[in-house]
Amino acid sequence: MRARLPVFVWLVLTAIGAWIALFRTPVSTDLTHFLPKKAGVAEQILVEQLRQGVASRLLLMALEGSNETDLAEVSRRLAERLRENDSFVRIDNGTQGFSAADRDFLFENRYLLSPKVSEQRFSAEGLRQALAARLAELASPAGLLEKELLPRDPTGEFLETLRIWMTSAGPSLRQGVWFSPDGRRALLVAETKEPAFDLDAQAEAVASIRDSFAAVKGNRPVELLLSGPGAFSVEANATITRDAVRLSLLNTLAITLLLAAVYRSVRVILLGLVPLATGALAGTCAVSLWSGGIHGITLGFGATLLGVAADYPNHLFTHVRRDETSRQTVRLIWPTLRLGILTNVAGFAAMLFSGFEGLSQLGVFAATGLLAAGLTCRWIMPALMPAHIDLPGRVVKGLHADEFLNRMHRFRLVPPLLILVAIASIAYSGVPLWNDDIDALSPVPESRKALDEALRRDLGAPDLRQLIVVTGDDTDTVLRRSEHLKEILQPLVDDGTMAGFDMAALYLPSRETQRLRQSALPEIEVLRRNLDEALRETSFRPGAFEPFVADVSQAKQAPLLDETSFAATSFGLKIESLLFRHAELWVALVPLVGVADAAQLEAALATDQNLIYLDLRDASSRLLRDYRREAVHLLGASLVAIVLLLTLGLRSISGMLRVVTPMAAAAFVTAAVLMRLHGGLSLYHLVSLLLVMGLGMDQALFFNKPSRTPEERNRTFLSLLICSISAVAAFGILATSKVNILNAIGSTVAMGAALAVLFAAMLARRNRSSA
Amino acid sequence: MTSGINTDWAHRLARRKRHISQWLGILLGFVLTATLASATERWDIDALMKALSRIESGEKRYTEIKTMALLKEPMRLSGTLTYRAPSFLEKRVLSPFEERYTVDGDSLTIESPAKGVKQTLSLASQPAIWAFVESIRAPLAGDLATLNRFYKISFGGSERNWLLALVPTEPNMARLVRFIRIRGSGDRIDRIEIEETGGDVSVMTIEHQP
Repeated sequence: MRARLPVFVWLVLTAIGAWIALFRTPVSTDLTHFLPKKAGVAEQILVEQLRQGVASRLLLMALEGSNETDLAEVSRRLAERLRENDSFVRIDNGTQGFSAADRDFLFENRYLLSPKVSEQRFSAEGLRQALAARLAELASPAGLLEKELLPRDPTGEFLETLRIWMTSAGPSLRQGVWFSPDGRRALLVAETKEPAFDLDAQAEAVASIRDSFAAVKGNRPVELLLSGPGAFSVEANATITRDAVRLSLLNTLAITLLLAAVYRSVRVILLGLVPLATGALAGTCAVSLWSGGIHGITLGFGATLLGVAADYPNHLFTHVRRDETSRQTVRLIWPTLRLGILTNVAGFAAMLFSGFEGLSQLGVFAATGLLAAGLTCRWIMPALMPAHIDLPGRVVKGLHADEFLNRMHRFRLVPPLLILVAIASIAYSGVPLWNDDIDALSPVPESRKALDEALRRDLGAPDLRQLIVVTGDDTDTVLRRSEHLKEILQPLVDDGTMAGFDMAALYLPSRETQRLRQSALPEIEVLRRNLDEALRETSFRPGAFEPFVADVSQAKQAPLLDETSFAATSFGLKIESLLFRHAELWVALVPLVGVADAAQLEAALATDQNLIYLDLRDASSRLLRDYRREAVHLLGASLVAIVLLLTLGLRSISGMLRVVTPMAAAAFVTAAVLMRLHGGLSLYHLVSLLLVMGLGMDQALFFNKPSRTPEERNRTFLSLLICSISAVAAFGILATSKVNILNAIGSTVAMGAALAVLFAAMLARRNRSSA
Repeated sequence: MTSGINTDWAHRLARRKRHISQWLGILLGFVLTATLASATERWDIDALMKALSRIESGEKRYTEIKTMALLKEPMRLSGTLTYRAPSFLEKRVLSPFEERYTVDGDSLTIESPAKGVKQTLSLASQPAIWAFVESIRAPLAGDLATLNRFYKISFGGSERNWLLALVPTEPNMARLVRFIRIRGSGDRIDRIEIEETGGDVSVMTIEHQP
């Protein structure tokens, strides 16, 4: 009964853990976990924009491969069809002008919205000029369209308000739909209701675009290109999942074959998974209980780091001798295993102190996971294992571990020397060790990024890469500051330093500006007198403009507009995306297009701290760099802890050095080689290096395990061979992936694991007795 | 006072009579075409379109008189009209100011040297303008299908004096224009009248003497 107790406890805990993991652990993909806990407003807005800003919800479509007529026809039909779909809030291909409600709104409020409203415009002279211009328009065929509104708007303010919205109207039209300048691609834009990080919603949106396209295309030879953050994440997710599934099947096959050859028992192979699975479950639960949920990245990286635990059962299985029970075996290897687990846990525990939620989650996951895996190995495995594991005698006897290690001993100076070489190589490579460009992490292939850039350029869509954030206590303050900013930016656009900008204040003037315009409108008697004077010299009938007089006198009393006034129009969406509330503050975004000289711009803005210039790519790379820096610093701290623990555990400094040196050599050499290959290491490499160090330490510890007999040393050696061959095989297979994240992790760990075992063998303690 | 009302009344009556007689003319034309169709050479909309479609190009002077409620007196304009089959049409205003409208395929270019404006837009994106353009271009091209797309067509008269009446069906155009009447003789278009929904009328006369 006593023997069964741990298994019973383990079963209960596993059941509870499974329940927590499955039903109580929301998996988030929220990037805010990767923000420092004390992030500034600009960083928060940055992440908010990346998560759910308009730019993140745009899907860009291009049709190509046929003649203009076909492309235009498909564009029209596709847009029509997608407009009926609930997944999208907006489909634009140039066919839709303003709705009647939009036109009415602009017309009704033209005297508040038109930037041309001034006292001069309503003087006798101003009106005379306006009337002369209108008369000329009446003569033209197009005058037909404007005549209806003429009696109410002889000064043409409606056209001025329309013009503001038309300048951002987009690319050139051919046959009534948007086309790229060379006419080879018809262009469409869809704005999804859900943000880019909602993968399911995005996948649905992308699928409905493809379905609709297939339905309207007919037998025209038209092709659809799809781009934008949502399309990217759907595509990346599909490729990663496909690759990960395919490669892990291959992995499983390779490793099962290896283990089957050694153990020749299905039960043993399956048992080998128990510590790893228990560890992953424990890690997930710990993070879930600690922070109320787990981040997708933590889960992925954490599972990678737990790879060390895959070695534990192998150590156990290989050491079971014919005349020993598994309980005796586990007591034999436990001191070494325990030290390995503790040092690893100590290493990851340092991450708990991180200022980044994501990094501390990772620390909790890996530390708890390894601890649980180790405990499972010690207390549960012996109870589940068969009484005897018969390793083929030839395998154990034929290894000649002592001879091999003796031969390797000759190279004992190689690892420390290589550490120096690797450090020198990194230091004199002339490139930074770390590549913090956020693009290096993106699984989107270069060709797709180039297409995205081309489409954005053709569409004239701001990519929201560079923007200015204007903050204030209320909307009106923000609008006034924006208007002031416009005074700074407009000259830059005029002299070509910048291609353009967009801001809410262009469409919604501040109350102050609206009030100024209102006061520029003349009183009714004055207006009538000026109008009569102006009319005297024209061929317009007197009295023709009475509706105008009525409208102006009404506009003079009209309530001022605010951000809610646009709600019923299609302009509301745009205003909302450029002007919104963020916690206690109001924020206006000013997307910039084609900034030639960012430094000059930043200098121009420096005087006002309510204006923050933000380069999304730079800023996100900066966040990434901070994250990576903190990880490296904490790694330094954890190394100190590891060294202390090892010295205490092994009770000797030389023993400690034997363990730390191969681990450090493997990490440094791998880092130096990969850096040369990839021009800098990314976060993926860093996480993989942590695993390499964990594996290296574990292997070095076992090479230095005190052993009673040459046979036991052979068994230890076999265990290490199995561990490192399976690590190299598994991660080597992963390295064949074309997806950068899988490739980076795979190549780093495969190479690191191979080097680690080699170096550990070179530095292994010699056993004189068998020499 | 009374005489004023009388004159007005007489004027309206005369106008209505003229309308009635025009429509009677159309009706008569239909009857004649129907009865004579088998006997003599047919002159119907198809024959007209066929005759017009044979013309490859031409340049004509025109005068246009616009009568508008907003104006004290009608506005008089003149210039040239140039056509090249199948889809090029240019209206050039020479007096009282210079302006040029060029339609070629789907694009409309507006040029106003006085204002320094040159603007090109797509007809497909401006349905009302497109419909308007086709009221002249489609007949010149003999393109009945396009005409049918934008207008309800009535046709009448003889080969020497025919009348093509167009009532817009395109909603944006229909909001602005009540009908367009094109008169001509054989393969010549002599006169285009446009009556707007607001009551304003524009009459364009095309001169065929060099």
